[in-house]
Amino acid sequence: MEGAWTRRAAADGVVRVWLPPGATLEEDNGYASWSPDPGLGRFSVTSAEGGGDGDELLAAERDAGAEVEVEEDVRLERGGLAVRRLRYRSRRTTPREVIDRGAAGRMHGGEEDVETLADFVLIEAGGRLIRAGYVVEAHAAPEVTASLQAVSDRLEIGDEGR
Amino acid sequence: MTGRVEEQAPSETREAGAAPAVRDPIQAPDIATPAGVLALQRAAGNRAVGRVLARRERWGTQAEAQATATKTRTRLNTKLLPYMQAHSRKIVRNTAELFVGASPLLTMDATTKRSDSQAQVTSPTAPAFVTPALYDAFFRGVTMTNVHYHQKGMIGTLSGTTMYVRGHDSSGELESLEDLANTVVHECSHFFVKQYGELPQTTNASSFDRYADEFRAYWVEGQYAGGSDAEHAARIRKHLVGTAGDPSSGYPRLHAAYFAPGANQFKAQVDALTGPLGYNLSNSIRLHNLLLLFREQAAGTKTVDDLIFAIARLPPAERAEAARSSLIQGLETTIGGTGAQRVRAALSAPTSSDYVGQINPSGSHPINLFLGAIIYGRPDLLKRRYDELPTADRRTLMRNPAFMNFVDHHLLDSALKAAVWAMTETWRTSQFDAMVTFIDALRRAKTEADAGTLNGVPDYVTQAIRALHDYSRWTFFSWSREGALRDFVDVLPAGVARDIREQLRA
Repeated sequence: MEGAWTRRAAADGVVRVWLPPGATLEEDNGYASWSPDPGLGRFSVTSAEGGGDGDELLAAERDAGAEVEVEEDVRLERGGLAVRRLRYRSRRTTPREVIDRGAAGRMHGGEEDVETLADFVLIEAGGRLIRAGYVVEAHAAPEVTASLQAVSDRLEIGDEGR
Repeated sequence: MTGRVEEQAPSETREAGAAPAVRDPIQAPDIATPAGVLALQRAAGNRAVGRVLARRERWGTQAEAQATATKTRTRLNTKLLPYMQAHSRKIVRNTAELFVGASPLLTMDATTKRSDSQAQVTSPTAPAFVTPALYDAFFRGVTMTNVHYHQKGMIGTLSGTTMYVRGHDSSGELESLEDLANTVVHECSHFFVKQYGELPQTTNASSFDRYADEFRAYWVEGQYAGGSDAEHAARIRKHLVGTAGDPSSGYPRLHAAYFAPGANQFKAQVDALTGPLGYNLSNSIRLHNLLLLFREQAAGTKTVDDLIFAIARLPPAERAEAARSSLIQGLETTIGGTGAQRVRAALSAPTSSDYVGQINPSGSHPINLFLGAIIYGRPDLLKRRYDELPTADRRTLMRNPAFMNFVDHHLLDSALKAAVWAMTETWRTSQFDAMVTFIDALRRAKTEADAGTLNGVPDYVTQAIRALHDYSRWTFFSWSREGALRDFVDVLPAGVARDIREQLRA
């Protein structure tokens, strides 16, 4: 892929995301994301005021019916901020759902076995919890995972890169 | 990724060229929120807004969301279930039966979008699969104290044995009771498929099993019914796989699998499917319970008699469905031996109204007890229950072809069957015993014949014949020709058998 990578700030500048040429960080109500293949995974940055931490994230995964296997759970300091890196696999069967698609009619779905790999850093900064990283389906092509991993590897936190 | 990493001018503001927020283009404006209402006011004016809001559910605040949930729950219980119970289609009434009674198989409750859905789906502690473009946050029940993430546009979900129904679409417009009923029928079909494990690959959204599972649910729901079965199937197929020229049509993964280039076994299987697969296509609690009984019988906690009783109580159409089911046939095979034969005979009893309606046309309780005794096949119980029959009931059963059919399909022991005929045609339990004595004598004669010591008709056989009433002898000749006569007389040496027949005719 030719061209330059671009850096974009997210979470009010607490993190900076380097994106491959031509890629954009889409913003949806404070949820910034990019994906090389939206059906298979995405890199995202999101934040919220107040409490919550990695344990709450893992609990939410389990509450959603997932069996979670933590592959890495490391607490460290990056760019002057406390960071927890969580890398985990999640296996779940999606719930049965009836989806109203308007003119396209209804779709009945769910009950699918899904395995994903998530690799996040959780950053506590100024009373906020920021989550940055990616999730990808286990069956995604290696180049999709590699793309997401490359963006994750270049993530700048706090004072990093300044 | 081979591109060179080259830093451009850092930007501390959000990307200027970022694409607008991803929105689901098929969703109607969300007027449950203040922003949605404002948008509608701008587009249609206050009067229109007032009209729309008057008939739409709202969840913009926690209080509104909980009030909506309470209304939904009330509507499910007081409107939807009665509507389904009184429905003209049998499968809808059957489905309603799954949700009622002291210990219903399934329960139903409300699910409602949370007023803070947006904050929930963008939270850093939301599950990783949740994205605001695709998901909303819902709560179940009537208090907003739980969070469940579902795809946008979700109007119903099944969790365990509870069906959660939203009751309205994403714009807040109420779904009709008919639409809700059809959705419940559809989802219950999926529930049963999962219970029975007949389409094991259905958890793969690109598999033929998933297609067959959806096909069946749409088939029984009836939304695409009409015309021939082939036309019915074609309409469902089009809905599920879409059309070649429209990549967004159909179910995404089924569409992709069906129109995949090259040799395509999935497409061949889909095109060949012209009717629903699997057990319990009528969403019947009785058929479901029958299957559970089979499993309990296999585990040793129920008996073959229990199975026969359940089969005998099935409505004829459901008995016929059970008889055709490969799942049930497999379970019969597991039982094996006489038990399997009894089950098959009970399942294959006639289903015509001439049979079903004439066994016990008055619905007599003593007759029902006697029919139960026939299923058990115990001599003492048979005689006791027959003794308890009033004269009118004995008359009902006498030379009653439907009753004879019932006995044929539920009492496979030819000796007992002959004894029952003797009893019901003479109205005397003593003739039951006389027939049993006669057949025991024939067995003894056979033992002697096998030992080479039988010379002519033994006296004990002659004495037993003399104890039989004329009607008993007649039933033996007429109705046991393919039964006891064949099993106990025709097996004797030809001369002895001939002489016994002569004595019976005398």
